[in-house]
Amino acid sequence: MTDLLLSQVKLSGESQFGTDEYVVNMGPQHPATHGVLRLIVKLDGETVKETIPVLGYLHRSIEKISENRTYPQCITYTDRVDYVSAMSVNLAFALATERLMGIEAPARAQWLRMVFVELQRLASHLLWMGAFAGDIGALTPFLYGLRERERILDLFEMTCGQRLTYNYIRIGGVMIDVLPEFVPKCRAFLDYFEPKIAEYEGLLTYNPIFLERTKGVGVISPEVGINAGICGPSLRGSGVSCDVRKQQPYLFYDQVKFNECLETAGDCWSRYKVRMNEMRESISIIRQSLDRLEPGPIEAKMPPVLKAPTNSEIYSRIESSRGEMGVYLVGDGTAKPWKVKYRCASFSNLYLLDELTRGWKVADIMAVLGSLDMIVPEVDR
Amino acid sequence: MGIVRYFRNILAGLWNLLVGLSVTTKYFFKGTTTQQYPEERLPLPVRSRSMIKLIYDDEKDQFNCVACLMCMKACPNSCIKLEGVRQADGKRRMTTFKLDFSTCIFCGYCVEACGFDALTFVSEEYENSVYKRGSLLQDEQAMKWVRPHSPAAEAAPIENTAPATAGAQS
Repeated sequence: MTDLLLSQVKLSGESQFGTDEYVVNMGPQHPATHGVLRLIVKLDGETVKETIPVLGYLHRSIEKISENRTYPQCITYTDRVDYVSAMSVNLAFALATERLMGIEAPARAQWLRMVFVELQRLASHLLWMGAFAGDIGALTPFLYGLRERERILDLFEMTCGQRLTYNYIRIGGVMIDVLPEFVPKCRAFLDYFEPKIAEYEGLLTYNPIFLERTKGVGVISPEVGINAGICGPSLRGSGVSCDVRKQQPYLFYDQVKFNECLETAGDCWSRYKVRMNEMRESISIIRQSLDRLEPGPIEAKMPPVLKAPTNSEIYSRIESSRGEMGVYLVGDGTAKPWKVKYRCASFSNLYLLDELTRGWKVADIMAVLGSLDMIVPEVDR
Repeated sequence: MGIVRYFRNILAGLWNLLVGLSVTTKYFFKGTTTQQYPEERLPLPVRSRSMIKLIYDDEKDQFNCVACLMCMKACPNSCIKLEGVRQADGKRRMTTFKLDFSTCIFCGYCVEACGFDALTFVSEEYENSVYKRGSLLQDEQAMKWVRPHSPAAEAAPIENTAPATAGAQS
């Protein structure tokens, strides 16, 4: 036996000990994958040779189910596509349906939608910041982020009665008008929240450990990012302008002033910085929208049963918290969509994970995965 | 040159650690933001979608429901089953009403579709855990709810502002 081992050692040549590829399953129940995502990681020592994401653990066939539901009923399912930013998906589906059927929502509903979608972006980015910092090892920002997110959820609950799956943005308007005390409460929250961003940045941005873990890690060059279909803040971290709110304004985004946040390095730190800056822009958008909020109807006049024209199709996209959220609808003249397809940012952003983690250490997988702001139900749908 | 950068990095790192520590130290001396849940309970907003209830009119001694089946058609998951009969006076009345809370997603379409003020959300009952799955299938007696006669409760949790389009099936 010993002779056999020795002969193997001699055969293996220069390194004296032959090393085997080591395969590790990360997940599906892993605390850092934000859901049931399984990563098959092939390791050489601690260096990653290949990362293969295995999808489908959270597949609920929402697109297929939607084919058997009426258009308003589909909205309840869009809540579950991306439960961290459900308002955005509600809006994506509602806008697509409105464009398909030629419905125009009244102005007050549009401004309310903008307020809620941007509040949702704040909530989503706060949870992301906490989870990302937690993956890297800083637990404090997670608690702080959730503390402020709680206040946003309170605003949502006050208005529509739910904290996670809102079903608030409907076809042709919104579900219910805000309470009279909503606007002062929302303004008070924004005033309270704005200085908090500086606190998070004080905790994280130039923290030496955080910098070590994120600077130069997982660099996406603009060319690679565009070719791979990366979108949203992940691509803006590479300096590519890709904000749908600027490029193809929906709602009243062309009437508010805001900047598209760009960073140039393309590493995890840049993607972090883009999202932190986006929170400030969202605050500015919410303030402007609240200023423009005027009394009026909140729901367009619609037929009792919504039917899409025969052989009609539409692809409509919005900028959700994670990137470009597209909805493709095919109508066949009945009250149910013939085909629904969601183009989700998480799915396309996950594509680059293998390329970004190759050659890095195991711990960097979490930094890269976290910085892409991926959420599993949106990947699997 | 390398030495200068080396020490500058150490100083910058120390400074930024202190910046972070100052934030956490500030909150160390502030009060808590959490509630001790079973002892302390937050009142939920009136619009909170916590539990669906069937409104019972104790003056007329009957449910408000007339079994028009609009809630059943509006439900995305078909978790409502109800039957009604036409009474001797010609009016329809609900006889059985079953709501399966294990498939209910609290979207609120049934409450919005109801045109007879028969279904409502109540915000008080939010502890809905049960020991057996079968207990989630509630009938009209379990869902019976009498609207309290107080001005605060007059403001219905969610008004029926939405038109009948909410989920009407073809």
